[in-house]
Amino acid sequence: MTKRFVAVKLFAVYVETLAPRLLPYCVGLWFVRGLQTFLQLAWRRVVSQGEAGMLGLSFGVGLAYVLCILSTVLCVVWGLVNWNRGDEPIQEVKAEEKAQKTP
Amino acid sequence: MRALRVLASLSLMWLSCGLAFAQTVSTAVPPAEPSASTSTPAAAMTVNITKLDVISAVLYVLILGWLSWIAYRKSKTAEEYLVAGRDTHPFVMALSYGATFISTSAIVGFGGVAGSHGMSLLWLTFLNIFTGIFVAFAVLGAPIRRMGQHLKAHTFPELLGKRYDSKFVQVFAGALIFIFMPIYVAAVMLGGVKFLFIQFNINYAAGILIFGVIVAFYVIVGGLRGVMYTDAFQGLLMFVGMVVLLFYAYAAAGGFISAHQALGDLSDHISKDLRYGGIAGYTQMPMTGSPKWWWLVSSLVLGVGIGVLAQPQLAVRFMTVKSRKEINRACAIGGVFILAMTGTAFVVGALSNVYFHAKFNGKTAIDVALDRVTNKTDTELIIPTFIKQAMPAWFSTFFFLTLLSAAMSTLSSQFHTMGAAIGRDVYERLFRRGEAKADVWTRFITQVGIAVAVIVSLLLSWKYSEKPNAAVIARATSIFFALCASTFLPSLILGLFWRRMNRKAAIASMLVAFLFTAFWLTFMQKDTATALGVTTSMFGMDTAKSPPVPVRLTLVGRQPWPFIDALVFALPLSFIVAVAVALITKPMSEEHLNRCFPKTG
Repeated sequence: MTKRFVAVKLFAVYVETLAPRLLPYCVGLWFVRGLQTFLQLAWRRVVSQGEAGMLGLSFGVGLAYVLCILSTVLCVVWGLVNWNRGDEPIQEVKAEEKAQKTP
Repeated sequence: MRALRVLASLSLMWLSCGLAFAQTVSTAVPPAEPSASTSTPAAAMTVNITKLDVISAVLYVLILGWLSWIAYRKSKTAEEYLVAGRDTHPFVMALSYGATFISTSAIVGFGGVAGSHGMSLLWLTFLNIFTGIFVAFAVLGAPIRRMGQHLKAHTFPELLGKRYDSKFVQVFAGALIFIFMPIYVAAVMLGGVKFLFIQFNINYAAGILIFGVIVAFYVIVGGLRGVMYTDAFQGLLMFVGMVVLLFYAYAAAGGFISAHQALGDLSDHISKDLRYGGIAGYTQMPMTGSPKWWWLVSSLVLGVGIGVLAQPQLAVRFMTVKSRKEINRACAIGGVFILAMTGTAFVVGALSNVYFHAKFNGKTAIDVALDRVTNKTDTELIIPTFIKQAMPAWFSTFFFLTLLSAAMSTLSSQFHTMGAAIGRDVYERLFRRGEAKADVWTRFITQVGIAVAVIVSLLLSWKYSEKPNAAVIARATSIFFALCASTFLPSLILGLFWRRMNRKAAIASMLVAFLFTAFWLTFMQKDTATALGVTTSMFGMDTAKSPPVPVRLTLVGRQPWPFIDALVFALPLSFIVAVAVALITKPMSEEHLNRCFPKTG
C-alpha cells in the first residue's frame, strides 16, 4: 500500500514538475533521431536506385523537400508544447506597476 | 484634424486611382488578334476585366478600408501607432509576420526563378521555415520582445540604439533602412504589377501607381495596428489561394510522384544559357561550383534565408505582443503558413514546365512567359502566365486577390518601417523638440516619410520594369536581405545574448559590414557591378573591338568570384569584428546592462 502510494506520488511529482521540462527535450530528441533515421534510409535508397530515388527527385532536392516538411513539424510541435508558457511579467515592469497602484 | 487627414488621404487615393485608371485605359496594350494562331502562348491569352474581378476588387478594398478604420480609432498615441499598443493577438501576429515576410517577390519573383531553374530553390523554403520561423520565434523572438518592452523601443533601430546607448547606431540603422529599403519595396511592387499585366493588361506604370497609393492610404491612416489587421486578413486569403494552387498544379501535372518524374524527364529541354550556367535539370541541384550554383546558394538561399532574421519590419512584430506566450503560439501557425506560401510557389513554378511542355508542343515555362510589349521572355511572368493558362477563371480572380494581398501586406509593413525609420529614428533622435510636441511631430514626419518612400519606390519599380528576364525581383530582394543580415545581425544577436557586447563593437561591426557590402556590390559582384558601371568607368572600354566592350566588368573576373554574394564574406567579417572589438574594449556599465537584461518572474 505504502509502495503504491509512493509510486503514485512520485508519478504525480513527475507529471507536475519534471514532465513539462523534459517534454521539449524528448520532442527535440525524437526530431533528431527521426531525421537521422530518415537520412540513413534516404541515403540507402539513393545508393540503390541512383539519382532519381527520392519522391521522384534527386537526393539534393528531395532532401530539401523533406526538410521543409520536417521543419514545419518542428515549428508546430514546439509551438504546441510551449502553447501556454511564457506569460511571466518582467520584474521591474511589475514593480513599476505596483508602485503606480500604491497611493 | 484627424478627420481632415483621413478625408485628405481618401481624396488622394481616389484621385490617384482615377488617374491610374485613365492611364490604363489610354495606354493599355491592345489584346491579341483573335485570328492569330492559338498555338503560341501570347496569342492564346485574352485580356479582359470581368464583373467578378471588379466586384471582388471593390469588396476587397472596402474590407481593407474598414479594418484600417478600426485600427485608426484604436491608434491615438505614438506607441499604438508604432508598435500596435503591444497587445496583439498571437493569430494576428503570426499571420501578419508571415504575410509581411512572403510577398509577390517570393511568389512571382522567386517562383519564376524556380520555373526556370527548377526545384533546388526548395532549400530556400527550408531556411525560410527553419531560420525565418523556428529560430526567429523560438530563439530571438522572446529576447527581442523583452528587451524592446523594457527599453521602451518602438522600432528596430531604436532597439539597437537603446541597447548600445548610442545615437549613432539608431540614426545609422534608421537612415540605412530609409535609403535602401526602396530596393526591396520596388521589387515587391513589380511582382504584383506583373500579374496585373498578364491578367488584366494593365500597364506597369498604372499598376505601380494603384498599388502604391492604396497601400500608402491605409498605412498612413491606421499605423502598425492597421497594417497588422489588414495583414491578418490578407494572410488568410494568401493561405487559401496557395493551398488550392498547389493541389491544382499537382493534379494538372498528373499526381505527386508522376509530376516530379515528368519534370525530371524535361532536363533535355533546358536552354543552352541555363545549361552553360550549371543547371542540369529541374529536379536536380545546379552543378556544384558553377555560376548558377553560387547565385542560387549564396544570393538566394543564404542571402534571403539568413537575411530574414535581421529584417526590421519583421523584428518589430515581436515587440507588438504582450508576452512570450503569444510568440510561442505564433510559431506553430507561422511554420505552416510559410510552408504553404514559399513551398507552393517554388513547387508550382517548377511544375509549370510539365504543363507548358504538354500544352505548347515541347516548350518550357521560360519559352512561354512572353512579355507582349517587348516580345521577350521574362522569368517573372511564369507564375502569372501559368495561373492565366492552367487555372479556371474563378481561380484567376481569387489568385489576383491572393497576390494583391501578398504585395500589399509586405508593402504596408515596408512603408511603415521606412516612415518610422525617418520619423522616429532619424528625425526624433537628431532634432527632438520638447517632450509634449515630440509625439505629434514624430507622427507627422513619419507620415511624410511614408509618402516620400512611396514616390521613390514607385520610380524605382518603374525602372525595374524596363529590365525583362533579369530576375530583377529575386536579385533586388536578396541584395536588401543580405545587406540587412551583414549590417544588423551581429549587433542584434550578440546584443541580445552577450552582456560583453558594447557600443564600439556594434558601431565597428555595422560600419565594416556596410562598407564591405558596398565595395563588393560595386566592384566584385557581376550583376550589380555591371548595373552600377563604376568598374567599367574606371578601366574604360576596349576600343580595339567593334563595337567597343568594357575592359573589365568586375575587379576579379575569374570564376567563381563574380557570382559569390557579398553576404558570404560580409557576415562572418562583421561577427569577427564585433567579437574582437568587444573583447578589447571596456564593457558597458552594469547599471545599463541591468536595464537591458531584466530578470523575469
